[in-house]
Amino acid sequence: MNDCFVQAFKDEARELLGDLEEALLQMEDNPDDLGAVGRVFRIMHTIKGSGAMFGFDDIASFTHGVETVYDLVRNQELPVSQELVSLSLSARDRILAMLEAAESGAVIDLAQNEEVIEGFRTLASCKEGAAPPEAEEARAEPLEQEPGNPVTYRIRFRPDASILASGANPLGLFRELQELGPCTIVGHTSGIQTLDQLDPELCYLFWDIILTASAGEDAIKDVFIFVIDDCQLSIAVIDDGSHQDEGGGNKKLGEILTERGDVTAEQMDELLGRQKRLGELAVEAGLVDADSVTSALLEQRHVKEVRQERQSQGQSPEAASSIRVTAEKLDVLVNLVGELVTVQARLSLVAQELKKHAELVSVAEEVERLTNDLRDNALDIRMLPIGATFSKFKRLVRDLSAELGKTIDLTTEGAETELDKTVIEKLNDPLVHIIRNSIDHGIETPQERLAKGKPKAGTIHLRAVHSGDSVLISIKDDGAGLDVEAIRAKAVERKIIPANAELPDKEIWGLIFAPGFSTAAKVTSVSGRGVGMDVVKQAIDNLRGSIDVKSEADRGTTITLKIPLTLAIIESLLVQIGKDRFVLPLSMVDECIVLTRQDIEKSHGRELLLVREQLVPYVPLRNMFRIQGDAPAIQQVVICRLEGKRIGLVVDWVIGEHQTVIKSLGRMYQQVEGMSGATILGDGSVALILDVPAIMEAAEQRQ
Amino acid sequence: MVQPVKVSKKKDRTQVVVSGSLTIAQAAQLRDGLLQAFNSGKKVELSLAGVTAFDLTALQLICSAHRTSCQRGMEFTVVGDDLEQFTSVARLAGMLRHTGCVQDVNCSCIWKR
Repeated sequence: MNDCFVQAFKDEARELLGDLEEALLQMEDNPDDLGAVGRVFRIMHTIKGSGAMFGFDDIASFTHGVETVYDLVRNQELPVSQELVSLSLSARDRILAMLEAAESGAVIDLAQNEEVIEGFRTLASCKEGAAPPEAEEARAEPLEQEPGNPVTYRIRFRPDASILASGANPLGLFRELQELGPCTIVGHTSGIQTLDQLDPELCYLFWDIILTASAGEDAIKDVFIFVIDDCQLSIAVIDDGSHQDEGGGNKKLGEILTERGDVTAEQMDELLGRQKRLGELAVEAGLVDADSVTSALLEQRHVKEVRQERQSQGQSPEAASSIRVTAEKLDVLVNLVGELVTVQARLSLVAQELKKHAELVSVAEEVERLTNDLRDNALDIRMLPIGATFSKFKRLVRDLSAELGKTIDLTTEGAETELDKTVIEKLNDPLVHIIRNSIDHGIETPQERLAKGKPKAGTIHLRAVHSGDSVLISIKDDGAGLDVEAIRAKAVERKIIPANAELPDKEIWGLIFAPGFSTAAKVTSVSGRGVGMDVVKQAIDNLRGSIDVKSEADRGTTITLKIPLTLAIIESLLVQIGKDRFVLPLSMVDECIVLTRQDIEKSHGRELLLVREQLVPYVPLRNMFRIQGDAPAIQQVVICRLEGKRIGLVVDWVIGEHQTVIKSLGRMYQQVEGMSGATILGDGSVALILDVPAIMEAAEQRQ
Repeated sequence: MVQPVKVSKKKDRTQVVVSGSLTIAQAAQLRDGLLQAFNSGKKVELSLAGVTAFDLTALQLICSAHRTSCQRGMEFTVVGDDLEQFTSVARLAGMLRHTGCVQDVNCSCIWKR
C-alpha cells in the first residue's frame, strides 16, 4: 500500500474525528435532530470504509460495532441518550488512540476497546429484539459500497384508489424518501371529487416526487416495495450531474411537461406560438391542470437548487476543489517568501542607488509588487478558521462541567475568523487554561446560581473577531466575577504587592497573571495549583499579543486576548540608535514626536514627557542598551500603546516603515531582555526586533 | 364518548368542529358532517383547532369540501389550519401551493401559503 494514501487516510480520519465530536455534541444538545444522527452515522461509515480499504482492520471492525448501533438510532429504534453520547465520545477517543498507535507502533489496549463495544451492546440490547452489534460478525461482513454522486429522479406515484383502505400510508413512504435526500413532493389534487361524490376511504391523489439522492434507484424502489402491487410507479433520472454546463443546465417548463408525456410536442409548439406565460396557457387550454404546472415548476426549481448546491460545493469533477498539503511544506514556502522579501528589499535599495539605470528601477518596482502579492498569498494559505479549535472546547466544557457537577453551555461566535496556523496552535493551551479557570472558579454551582437568582446553567461565550492586523478573542462567562478582595489578600500574602498598595480594580484583576498566583481555596484536578494564568500570560506575550480582563461581581468575567494575525511577517517601524538599527511592530506605535535637550532638562531626570497635556514616561534606549557615543541634539520618541498604557521609546532617528520578516534569535540570545527576534535589512545587515512589553515591564520595575 | 365531529348552527354560519384524531376511521363521519353543513345553506366553517392527528383522508376531505363550496358558490373557511401538525402533514403530502387549482374561482384555496 502506498504510504501517501495511508497518510491521507490518517489525516482525513483525524479531521473526521473532529467532525464526529462536534456532531455528537450537537446531537446531545438536540436529541431529536435526525440530521446530526445521520451525520454521526455517515462519519462512522466513512471511517469504517476507508479504514478497511487502507488496512486498518481494527479500526474498521471497531467502528462497525458502533455504526450498527447508530443504524438503530437513525431508524428511531433507539433513542439518543446521554449514555449513548458519552459512549460514542469514548469510542471516538478509542479510534483516535488506534490511529495514533498505528503511527507510533504502540500497543493498543484491547480491553478498553472491548469495554466500549460492550457498552454499545448493552445499549442496543435495551431495545427489544435488536441484535447486539457483534464484533465477530463485523469482520465477516463485506463492507458496504460507498454511495456515488447524487442523482435527481422524477418519481410518479399513482396509488390504487383502495390503498388507504388496505392500511398503507403513503405519508410514511414520503418520510422514507426524504431520508434519502432533498425531496420536493407535489400532490395532484385534480381527481378529488365534491363531497357528495367522494368516498372518504378511497385515495384520489397521486404524486410527483423530485428526489436527489446518491443511494441509487434500487434504494428508491425498496421504499415502495410493500405497495408495488397497488400502485403505478415510474422512476426516471432527470439529472445525473453530468450535464453541468449545457445551456445553464435548467430545463424549461415546456420541456419537462413534454418529457413527462403530459403534453405532446405539437401541442407545445402551438402553445409557444401564442407567446404568453406557458404555465397559464397550458392550463387555459385545458391540456394540463394547475397541479401539473406546479409540479413541473417545482421540479425545475429543485434541479436548479441541487445544481447550484453542487456547484457551490465544488463537487463536480471539473471544478477544482482542494488539495491536501503537509504543514511543513507550507512552512518552507512561507520561509522562502520571507527570504524573497528580504532580497527584494535589497534589490530596491540597489536600484535606488543606481538611479540612472531607469530599467533596473522599473524591474525592481515590478519585483516589489509581485513579492508583496506573493507574500500576502503565501500567508493567506496558512490561515485557518479558528472554529476547529472552538469546537474542541465544547468537549472540554462538557467533560469538565460534568466532573464538577455544574451545568455550563458553551456558545461560540466568529468561528470563521482566520488566523495563522502557527498562531492557532500556540493559542490552544492558553485558551484551555482560561476556559478551565472559568469553569472551575468563575461559574458557580447550580445551587449557588439559583440562590443568586441566576439561571441554573452557566454560559461561557467564546468570540473571535478581526480588528486591524489582530484578532480579538474573548472568553466571557456569567459566573461570580473576580473577587477583588481575595486577589488583593493573596497578592499581599505572596508579596506581589505591598500591604498598603492602593490599586484600581483593573490592576488587581491583572494580578491573576502573576507567577504562582491562585486564589482557589482548594486544589482541584482542574485548576488551583497556581500554575496556569501566568503561563497564559507568557504564551500570549510570546505571540506578541496582549490580555485584557474585565470583571463585574456576580455578572461574570471577560478575558480578551489580542493576537496578531501572523507570526511570520509584520509591518514595522525601523529606527536607528548610533549605528544600530531596530524595528518595532507598527501595530503598537501610536505616534512619533521629537525630544530636545530642553525637554530632557525640563523633566528633571524623571523621564516624563508632556504629550498633549498627558504625562507619558519614556525610556532612553541608548542608555538601556548601553550604546556608545552621544545622542544627537534632537532625538525622536516613538510613543507605543500597550494594554491601554503608553510609553515612549527614545531613539536617534526614525527611518520609516519596514516589512519585517521575523527570524528567531539563536538559543544563545533568547534570554536577552528587550529583544524578541531579529530581521535582515535590505543591505544585508541585521536589525533586532524590540520587545515592547518587556521594555515597558523593565521600565516599570526600575521606577 | 365524545363526538369527534360536531355540527352546530350559528346565526351566520354552520360550524363543524373536529376533535381528537382525524384519520380514515373518522373520515366518513366528517364527510357526513360537512355535507350536512353545506346542505344548511349557510357559510361553512371547519374548525381543526382540537385535532391531534391528520392523515391523507383528512387532507382529501378538506380539499373536497373546498371544491364543494366553489361548485355551490358558498363560502367555506378553515380555522385552526395554522396548526404545526396540520401544516407539516400537508407539506409532506405535497399539498401546499402558491396558487389554487382550476376550481378555485374565488381564490380561496386552502392550500395557499
